[in-house]
Amino acid sequence: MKGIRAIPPSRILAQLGQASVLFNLVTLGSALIAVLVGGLSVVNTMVMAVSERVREIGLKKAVGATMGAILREFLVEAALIGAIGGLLGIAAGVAMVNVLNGMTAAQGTTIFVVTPRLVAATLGFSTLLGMLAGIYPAIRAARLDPVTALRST
Amino acid sequence: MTTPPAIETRDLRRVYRRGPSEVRAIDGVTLRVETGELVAVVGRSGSGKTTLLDLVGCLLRPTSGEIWIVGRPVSGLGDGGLAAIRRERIGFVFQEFNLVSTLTALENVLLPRRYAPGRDGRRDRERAMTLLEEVGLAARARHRPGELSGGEQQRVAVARALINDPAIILADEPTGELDSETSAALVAMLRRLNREDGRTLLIVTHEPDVAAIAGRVVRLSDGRIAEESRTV
Repeated sequence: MKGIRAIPPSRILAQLGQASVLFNLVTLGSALIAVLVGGLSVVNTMVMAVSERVREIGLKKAVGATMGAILREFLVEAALIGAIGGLLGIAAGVAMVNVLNGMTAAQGTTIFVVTPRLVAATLGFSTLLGMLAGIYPAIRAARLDPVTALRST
Repeated sequence: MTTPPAIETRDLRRVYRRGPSEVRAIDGVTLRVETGELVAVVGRSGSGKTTLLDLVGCLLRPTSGEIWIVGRPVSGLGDGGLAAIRRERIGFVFQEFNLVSTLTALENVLLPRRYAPGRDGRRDRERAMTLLEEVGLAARARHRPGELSGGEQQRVAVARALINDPAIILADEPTGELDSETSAALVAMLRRLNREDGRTLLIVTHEPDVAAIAGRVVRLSDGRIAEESRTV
C-alpha cells in the first residue's frame, strides 16, 4: 500500500536492543568516571589530612600508638568519607530517579528503579572505595617518623 | 631483689649521615638514672640533649649501644614493643605542648588511653578529671587548647603525660615557651611529681631554675657527657 512501510518486529527489537546497549554503556561510563573521581577525591582529602596532621600523628606515636593503630585510624576515616559520600550520592540518585521517572511517567513507563538491595550495594561499595583509596595515605601516616613528625612546623 | 634503674644506656650512639659527612649527635653516652631520681640534661644547642631524650623515649633507634627502660632492654624491639614501652612506662612533656587543637583539655588528657589495653571509658574519664584537678584545670576541662594560656596548655600536657601512670617522665625544655611566673609554677609541679609521687624525671633544659631542682645535672657537649654533678 502506498505511503505505508512495514517494519518487522525483529527489526524493532534489534533497534531497542541497540538503544539499550548504548544506554547501558553511557550509564556504566558515567559510573566509572564517578568511581574514579570519587576515589581520587578521597585519596586527595586523606593525603591533605595526613599533611595537616603530621604533628598530631607524631604525638600519637609518642603516647603509644603503634603503626597499626595509626593505619586503622586513617582507614576508618577514609571509609567514613566514602560512606558519607555514598549516602549523599544515594540521596542525589533517588531525587534524580524521581524526576526522570516523573518525566517518563506521562508516556506510561518508568525507566529507573531504586531497590533496597541497590542502596545497600551502593553504600557498601562507596565505603569500600573510600577505604581502598585511603590505603596509600594511611600507610604514609603510619610510616611517619615520630621525631620528625613531632618537630615539623 | 634490687630495683633496676629507671633508665640505663650503655655506649649509646646516634649518627646522622649528611651526604659524605656524618654527624655524631650522640657519641658513646653511658648513663644510669635510678628510680625516683630527677636528672637535668643541660648543654648548648646541638649538644645532643634532645636526641638523647628521643633515644631514651624510644622515639628514635640508636645507631649502636644499648638502652634499658626499667630493666627492659629496648634494642631489638619492634614497633609494637617500642610503642608499648612509650605507652606504659613513659610520659612526655614537650616544649611546644603538642596538644591536639581539635580536642578539649579532657580529651587531650585521655588521648594516650586510646591506645592502651584495658580501657574503661568511665574510669579513664574520672582519672583524667582527677589529673586535671591536680594541675588546677578542672574548670577548663571542656576548653580547647586555643582557649588556654601557654601555662595552662603545658599543665594539660603534664596531666596527659600522667594518664597512663608512667614511672618515667621525659620533659624536653618544658618551660621553654612559658613566662617566668608560669615557668616557676610548672617547675614546682615537676618537682612534686618527683618528690611526692616518686616518679623518675629526665628533663632537658636551658633554664638554671629547672636544673636547680634536679638531684643530678648531666652536661652534654658534642654528643658526649662532658660533666656530671650532684646538686642536692
